[in-house]
Amino acid sequence: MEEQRFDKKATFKNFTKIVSFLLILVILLLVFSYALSPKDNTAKGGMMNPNARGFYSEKKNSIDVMILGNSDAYSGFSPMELWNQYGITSYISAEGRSTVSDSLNLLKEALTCQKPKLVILETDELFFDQNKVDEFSTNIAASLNRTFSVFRYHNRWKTTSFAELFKKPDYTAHCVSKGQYLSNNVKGYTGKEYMKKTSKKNVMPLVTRSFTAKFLNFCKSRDIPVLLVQVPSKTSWSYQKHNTMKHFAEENNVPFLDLDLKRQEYGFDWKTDTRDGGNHLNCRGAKKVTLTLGEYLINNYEFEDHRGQEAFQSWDEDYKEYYKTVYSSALNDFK
Amino acid sequence: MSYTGYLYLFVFLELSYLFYIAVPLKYRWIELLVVSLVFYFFSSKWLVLLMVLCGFIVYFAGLFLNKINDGFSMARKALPKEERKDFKTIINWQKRAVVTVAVLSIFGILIYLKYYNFLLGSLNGLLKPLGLSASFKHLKLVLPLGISYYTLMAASYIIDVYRGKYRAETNPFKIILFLCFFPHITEGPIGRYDLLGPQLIEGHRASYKNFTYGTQLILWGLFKKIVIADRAASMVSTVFKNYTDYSGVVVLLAALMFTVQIYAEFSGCIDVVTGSAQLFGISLQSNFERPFFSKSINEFWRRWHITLGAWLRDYVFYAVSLSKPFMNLSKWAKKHFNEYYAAMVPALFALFFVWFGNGFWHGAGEKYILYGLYYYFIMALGMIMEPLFVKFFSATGLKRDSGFMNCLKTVRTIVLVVIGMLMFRATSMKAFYAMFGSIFKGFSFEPIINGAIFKLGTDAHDYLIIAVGVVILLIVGLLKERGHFIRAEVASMNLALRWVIYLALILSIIIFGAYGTGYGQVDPIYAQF
Repeated sequence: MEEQRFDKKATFKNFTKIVSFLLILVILLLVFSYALSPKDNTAKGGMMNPNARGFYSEKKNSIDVMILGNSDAYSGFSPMELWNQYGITSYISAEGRSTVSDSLNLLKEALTCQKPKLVILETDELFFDQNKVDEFSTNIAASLNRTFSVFRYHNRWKTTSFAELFKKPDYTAHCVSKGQYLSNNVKGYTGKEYMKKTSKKNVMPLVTRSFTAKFLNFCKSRDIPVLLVQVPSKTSWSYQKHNTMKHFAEENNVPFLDLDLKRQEYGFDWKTDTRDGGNHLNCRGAKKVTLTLGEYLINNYEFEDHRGQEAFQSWDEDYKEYYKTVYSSALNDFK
Repeated sequence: MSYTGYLYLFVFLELSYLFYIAVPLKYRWIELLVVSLVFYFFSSKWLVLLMVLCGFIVYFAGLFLNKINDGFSMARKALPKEERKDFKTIINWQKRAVVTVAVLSIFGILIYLKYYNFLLGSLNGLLKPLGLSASFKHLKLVLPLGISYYTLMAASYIIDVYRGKYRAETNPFKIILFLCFFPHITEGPIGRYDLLGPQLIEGHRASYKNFTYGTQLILWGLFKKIVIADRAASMVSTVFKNYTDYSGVVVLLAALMFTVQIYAEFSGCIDVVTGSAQLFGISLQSNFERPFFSKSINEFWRRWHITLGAWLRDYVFYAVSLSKPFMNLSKWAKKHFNEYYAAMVPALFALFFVWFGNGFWHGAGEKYILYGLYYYFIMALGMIMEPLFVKFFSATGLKRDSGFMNCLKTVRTIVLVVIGMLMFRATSMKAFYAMFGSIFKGFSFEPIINGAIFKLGTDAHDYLIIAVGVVILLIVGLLKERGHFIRAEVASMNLALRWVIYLALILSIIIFGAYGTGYGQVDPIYAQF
């Protein structure tokens, strides 16, 4: 009996030690996360994918629509066209080979300085082709990166200075395209039509499915409506995926707009609107997609037209800059 | 599932451990079996069935051997003395037949999956000059996880039963657990059933000591793998992939960096798996004992990948030593040579198979075979020259075991090992010859002075981290060589100091580790065998 009591005491002591140790570790991780996180949202300042994080230097709570996704998203939408045509402010926060977990991280980052009225999630990343192990690992990595940014920015010890470690962040980057990847390259797709009607469905990976539900729940908890959108992509989209997504959207009571299925309706042309043979869109394709999306947004949501408002003058200037870059210069992938 | 990946470290290991301590002691081995099969299935899907098949082959063979042995014991007593010898011969023949069929079956699977393309490709090469156009087609074969490891373990089990070391296990699932126990399935150590089996079957209580010691070892292994090995990988990969673009000091540095990489990686992963097993109260066999302190190649291989060397000694060297050709050679040598060479010649004969096996186990290709024979050649040369060395030292009066000589021997061993590593990592033997030769062509330190070596995927900061890491490895190695048991010594320090050490280790892995954006995933080299 006495031995048992002793064991209990020892177990409690050991348990307390483990918990205390973990607590100190967490505090240190938070300290190092702050110290090593970039103090500016520029590439020089050490920010990863600075274009996706340009929202930090936009005026506080000035973005109406946050667009999240992977490379399909940053190639397939044009915030500047949405501004010019409808006066809606938007920002594309997307990274190549991103997962829905990464998108949730980015959204949480964005919400520290923006208060969007709508979140658009591009659906290609919900079918990201990974095996189960990689899928789990990617999502765990994303969660760690979100909680302790030292996991993401640990390598900054190479470039940071001691003085910079505990400096207050000052975000100075200015992304004229608002996160869009600008390319006027044309490498058309001339193959067969791939959106052939079928009742078959594709499998949405289990882990992604649960993280997407988490994403939707998060937005619900913040009272931010979500719109699922698919932009045209010959390489990554299919009718099976459309069926799966439609079913998923209905199940979760979220609208789904498949702009790949409606290509003919808005004059999308695979010969001229893609920069790499059907995988990603160029500026021309992005404009067509965005104008159709804008139409949908003003018909289904209430957005204030900010054009002409003094507080949004900089958007007009950015549009001029964007126009000059896209319409009057020979943009290509190497620029 | 990588032992150094998030999924293993933050989910799989924790859940396995929690389930293990939640299950009654008696059934804990079943929990280990289930999680090991899950681990295996995650990596190799339905190829898990081949591992299970291998387990059943040696299980049934073991039962047969039990039955033969039991029958022999009972019948032997009833037989007249003069008939016992003949009966034993028949029994031995039966036992040999059973073990041969079992060993050939399990090695057959390994040879088919791992060596088919190489062997048939070589045969095609031989037939072509003879004008025979029979060409064998290249097959796309997928290797099940850890097949090179579990096949050796299964073979050691059935051979040990055959040799009468222990009785065969009567529960096939216990054998399957021995083969696929998740910490050792990917990279070893190559366990023995008599040492590991009872530990796996016996349920272990959760112990604070095992928990902390195991965790410490895992962290130390992660430091070696993620901070040192993965950081060196980028430069190594750049130079070996484009070897024709580099020469002199760059190639030499790449060979040294690869040596550091493979040691830090392999021993680091072994530390992670040994620490993982320790959490469950299970001790795996040691696989490394500071090999770079060795004074000879022979000693190096007793300290590097110890369990492979021990397997080859017990099941190849001894098997060849007991064979008829060996006995005949031994008799012949005794007639023709003096005492030293009479003992050496048959040993050289048996060692050839050991080193051929060592090279061949590492991979299907002439490069790996020559890699094994490279070490065989060095050892054979040492053995042949030994009488000359003895004469030299007695004539000069130099002390063979002086501190200076030992230092020279260690340096010589490291040089020979680095050459071996160059061969091991080179994309082909042709690449190895070219790289080795290029070291001496116009050797200069210019690439270091003009900073060219910092543009190979590893910058000055990376070299600094690798250098500091190697110095830490060296200090820890020296302390261990002097008999320190570092984990116990750290555990006996006062709490504050102890925690500072643990926290520094964890933070150094997180901050200085080569992972995340900008670093590719580096698959463990030994997991590919």
